[in-house]
Amino acid sequence: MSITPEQFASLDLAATQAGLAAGDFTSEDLLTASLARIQVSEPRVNAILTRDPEGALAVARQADRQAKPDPRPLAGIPVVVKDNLMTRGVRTTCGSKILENFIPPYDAGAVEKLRAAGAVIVGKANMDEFAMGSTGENSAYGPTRNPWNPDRVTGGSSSGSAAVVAYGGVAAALGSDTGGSIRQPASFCGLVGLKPTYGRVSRWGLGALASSLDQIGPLTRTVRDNALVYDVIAGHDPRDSTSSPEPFQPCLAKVPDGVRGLRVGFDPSIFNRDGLDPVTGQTLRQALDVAAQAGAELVERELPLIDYCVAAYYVICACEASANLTRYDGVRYGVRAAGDNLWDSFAHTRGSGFGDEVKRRIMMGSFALSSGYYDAYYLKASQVRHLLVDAFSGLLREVDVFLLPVTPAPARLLGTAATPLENYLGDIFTLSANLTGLPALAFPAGATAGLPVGVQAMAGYFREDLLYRLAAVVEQALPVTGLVPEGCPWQRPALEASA
Amino acid sequence: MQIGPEETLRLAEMLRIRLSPDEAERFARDMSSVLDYVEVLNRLDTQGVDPLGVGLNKEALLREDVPGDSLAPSDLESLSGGAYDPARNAFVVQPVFE
Amino acid sequence: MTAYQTTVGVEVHVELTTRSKMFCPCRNAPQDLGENQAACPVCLGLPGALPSVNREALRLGLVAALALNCRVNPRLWFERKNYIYPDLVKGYQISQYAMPLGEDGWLTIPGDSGEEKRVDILRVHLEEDTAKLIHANGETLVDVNRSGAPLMEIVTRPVLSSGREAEEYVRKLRAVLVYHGVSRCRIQLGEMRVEANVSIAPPGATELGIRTEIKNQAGFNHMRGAIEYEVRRHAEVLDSGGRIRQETRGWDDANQKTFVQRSKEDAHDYRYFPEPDLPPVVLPANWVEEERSRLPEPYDQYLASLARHGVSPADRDALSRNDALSFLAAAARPEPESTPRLVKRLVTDVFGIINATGVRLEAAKLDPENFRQAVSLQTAGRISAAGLRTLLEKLYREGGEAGPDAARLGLLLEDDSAAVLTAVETAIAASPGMLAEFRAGKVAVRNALLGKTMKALKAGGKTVDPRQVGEVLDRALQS
Repeated sequence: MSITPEQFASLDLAATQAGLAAGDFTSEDLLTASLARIQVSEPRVNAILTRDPEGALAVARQADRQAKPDPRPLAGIPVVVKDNLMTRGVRTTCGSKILENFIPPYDAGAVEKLRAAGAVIVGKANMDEFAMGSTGENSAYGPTRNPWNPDRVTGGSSSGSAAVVAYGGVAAALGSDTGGSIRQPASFCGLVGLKPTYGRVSRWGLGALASSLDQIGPLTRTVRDNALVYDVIAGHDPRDSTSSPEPFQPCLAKVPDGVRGLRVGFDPSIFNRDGLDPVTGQTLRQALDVAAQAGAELVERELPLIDYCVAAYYVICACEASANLTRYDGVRYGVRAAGDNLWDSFAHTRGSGFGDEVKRRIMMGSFALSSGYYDAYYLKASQVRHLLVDAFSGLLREVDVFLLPVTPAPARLLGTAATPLENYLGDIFTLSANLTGLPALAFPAGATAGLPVGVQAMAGYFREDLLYRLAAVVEQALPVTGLVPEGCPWQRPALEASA
Repeated sequence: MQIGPEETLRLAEMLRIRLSPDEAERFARDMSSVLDYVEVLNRLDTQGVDPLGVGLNKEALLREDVPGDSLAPSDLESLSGGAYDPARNAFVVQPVFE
Repeated sequence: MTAYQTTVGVEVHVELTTRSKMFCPCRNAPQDLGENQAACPVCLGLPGALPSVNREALRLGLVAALALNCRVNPRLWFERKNYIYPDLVKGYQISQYAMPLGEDGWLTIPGDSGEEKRVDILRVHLEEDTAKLIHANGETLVDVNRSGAPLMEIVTRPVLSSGREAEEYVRKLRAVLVYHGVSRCRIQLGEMRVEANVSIAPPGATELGIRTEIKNQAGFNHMRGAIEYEVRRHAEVLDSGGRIRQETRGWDDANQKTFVQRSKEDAHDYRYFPEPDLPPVVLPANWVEEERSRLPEPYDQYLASLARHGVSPADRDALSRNDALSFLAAAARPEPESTPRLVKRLVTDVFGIINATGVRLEAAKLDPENFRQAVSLQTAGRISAAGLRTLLEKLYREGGEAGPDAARLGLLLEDDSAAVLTAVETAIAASPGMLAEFRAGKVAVRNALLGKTMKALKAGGKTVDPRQVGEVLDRALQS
């Protein structure tokens, strides 16, 4: 018995694991279906940079040889990881030309955990170069197209991770989130995407963008799937000194616990913000209504310091990134361009190996750290960050979960010219979670003209369980979740437009 | 805060990134607009606010001084895309003059 | 020529003796390994690699800071020092800037004036070393064995007045650091690297002159020569109405002059910022106090105590030059009165073994405790002086335990007075002529009789202390 690519595309993890246990199909069947689904979708979507069919087949066959039931939570399950996660022996580019030939000799901590859980890593996902970008258009390997509408962006920087889950190439992918790079593509692609509490998932083996902001998290089509994968990758790693030793409590069992008695906060002034698309506001209202009907207590609170987030974030991110990317010089690994002498070679390697956004951010970050400017930029931004941490701590004493939009507007058209600053301003709602380190979950709550629209929940440190509980309630009530675009990627699915 | 193309080229030189004059102009404009925008931070009073310690780990965990495994020469060869010469056990670059 | 006042500041980098590197678990043994055998994602600067702080490096840094009388900062952090060079794998060095491990310390040296002079130490901090570059045949080879090795930087205030004082300072610093076991400081292996900043100013000037930096000294005397040369050169420039250019210079020992070096750190803005991959390091108060209480007696005090024990200046100097002071201190600790004996045996027997084997003390398998025990065996008459030398040689080469090894090697002297008396009497009786000569005043005959007695005892399978035999013989000859 086997499984067609279309059948595979619509299965969530629970159904997949049930099928494996019942012998309806094998792990090798799943892999075959996954690769076929990827094969047919990729020409239009461009979500996957590197496929590893041989490596995946070995793992799938090994899973099939295990006695059932296999206690490993992801045994035989095909997954994809973002191409800034190190995978031993498999090319890892971080979406950049400068690492076009780079084959890491080690696995990221999160990848080790996936492997230990029995997951079958099928390939590496496309992404904005070095995770700098919010649309997926900054990849050196071409943009990723939204499976719901190929003229639209997927969002970024975890563009490929979102797209491959959205079109059903796999049921789960890992992305990374520095300023919204999991949540925003999740929202644009109709997925559930988690940025965990900073330090909850090891950054060992994650090509760094901004050390104090980066976190790895799962993208899935359902809330329960997301919690399952999160439980696998979370936990302390002594190799990462910023990894939290706080004991980890698994979230999967808590997902159906509901929201009765929870205080759900929101900022009513958001609905009147300049530039907020009406659909975004309606989606947020829909989610709030569902929460209230499920027994949550709605509480109005101002989102603190929201208009300072973009400035604080981009200074800190650029500064840390500028230092993190200096290692790419071609001396020990990566592409090396020829030059008249060593310095010439460095300049050529980095000049031709990096894209525009990367170069801009490196230079801006170095400028902001330079003598005479450090106090005005990096120091100041770090202090504002501290204010934000304190303000959100206060807020989250008064509410258990805070609901807000993911982005001001749904996925825009590919190739729309926007200045860097305009792009940065689109991140306004996602940045505070990275700046404070608080966990945040994006999940579907609406749609417009065939495009999904998500909403975002934030909670206190290490309270991912509350996020999942709220998202599960909304998922049950609204008909926009868990869908895969029909005949992906070029047919429009049957999504109801919101009100 | 405005940065001109000359300043941009100087930065790029320090960072060993080759830029064309056209790129220098474009990037100078882009960076200037972002740097102007981030002035908004100055509206907040941050007198006496600690810039450090926003991380959740308040102190570093120390590693015991026990030697661990290192990479094998074959790893160095495969990761380096040709930069590593196994015959001489070294990464080879153009000469650097002191 | 105007008489200018000279100002010198010295910056020293010291490799710490840990087993693993500063920020990764790779082996810290650049001397013992073939090229690129201690490489990992961290010290190679691969994407995704993250640093973790070596506890022992921190401890050794703490010991050094305390030994140098610094104020220890209980909450310290690391910072990124950003610059591009092929030996700097991440394009930044993890170092310290705003909050170093120790500050405002000092060491005393004999000053130029003849008085004791206090040299202020501005700061002591921890950082990581760079990879090694080898220049060969129009190429540069990179070896990352040293990349990430633990390094301690010690910076003085500009308070030294001459090349001579600078040399005194680095010699003292080295002796103190070796004494405390922080580093082996072998200059020829790069375990201690010194740099000097030199400036001159007219007498009575309130501001310092423009300074030049002298780097890459191959030895302390090179540093002194370089400083003295620079002082003369600065004076010549100023005397002829010129201005000193702030630059970095190296020392050409063959031609005895400094020359301009293109330094990788010229005119650099390092753009320091706190290392976001490492939370601050908090030193618990009880840890600092525990290390403070475990420190041996301060170096100067220990040297003075040796003088009080009657150890000659020549012997003190020999001990210091052979890095044997901490060994001696550890050996003497249970029984400080044994110091003079231990010194004698160190300087004669052990240094003799060092010369014969070429194996330095810190590489030997002989530990201070077993050294002490071996010497006490001889003091107690359990083994002879020759036996002690044999025992020490064995322990030096192979390690072991003093008592059991002495027994195993048949070195233990037997206390068989009856056999000794018999042998003495037999020897005297068998040589009536010798006895007569002795009685007639030929005292040298005594040693011949001693030799005969020892031979007879040895032939009889008896190992006896010749001193004991001598005493019995002397008594017999008197009667």
